Amino acid sequence: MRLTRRQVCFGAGGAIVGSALPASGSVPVVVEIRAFAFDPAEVTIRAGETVRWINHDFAPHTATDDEGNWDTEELEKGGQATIRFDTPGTYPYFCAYHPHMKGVVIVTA
Amino acid sequence: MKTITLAAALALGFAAHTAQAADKMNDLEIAHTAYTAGQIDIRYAHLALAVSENAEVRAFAETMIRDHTAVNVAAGDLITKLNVTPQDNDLSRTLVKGAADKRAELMSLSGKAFDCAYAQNELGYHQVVNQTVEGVFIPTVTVEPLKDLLSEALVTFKVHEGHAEQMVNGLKCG
Repeated sequence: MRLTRRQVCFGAGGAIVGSALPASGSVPVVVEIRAFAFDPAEVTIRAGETVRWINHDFAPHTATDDEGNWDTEELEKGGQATIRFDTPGTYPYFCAYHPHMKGVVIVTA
Repeated sequence: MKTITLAAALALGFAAHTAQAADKMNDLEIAHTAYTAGQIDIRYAHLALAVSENAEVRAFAETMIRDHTAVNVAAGDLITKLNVTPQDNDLSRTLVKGAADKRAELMSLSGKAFDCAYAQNELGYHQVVNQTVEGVFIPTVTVEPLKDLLSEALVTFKVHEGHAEQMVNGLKCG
């Protein structure tokens, strides 16, 4: 099993990829990727909080913003990526490799 | 309907062969055949990337390479962990021979003819492999980690089958 971790901050200025996130004090909301589905498919967080995707499938997956503003990049089995959302809004996303896989992040003020 | 007929014919022939052979196949032979089936699809995909200019077909081929490689890496890891060697067998050899013939056929085609032939073959191939993995291999294997790996791989292969069906329909091959 190959473990990868990736952290991204997404705000009004776009996505910023870095090795570590500023401490937000909140626990990430976890979206499990299993059997070619995001679970849960819809999550709601407050601005400044984070979502963590964890892939449990053999097949690599991504969580990719429909608008192309943020992307977990490829997550192998066991891989995970965390993205912080600073701007309220609704962010639908999909797997770039398996486009039928869809989810949405709702960010409240 | 032509696609379904082709797939059904393939399935019937292959399934009959498989059912007959399965009685004699041990875990190491099943592991070899499952791995071989993945490698065959990867080779089909590389051929598609070399020939097709259709974006949907190319995207599908890239997905096949990515996903089947991931499954086979997991299979290789399991083989290493169990410290065993998969065994070549009649079914693996039949698959390899059939795939070589199919690649030769595909290589004589180009444009939409290639795209349709590749897509229809992918659908039929995944239908047959999935039927075999689910109906024969998983019930037959005795080593639990191999059973688990095949079960998880089947989830991936079934998604491929659905994707292939969408590709066939989208190409409107007639």
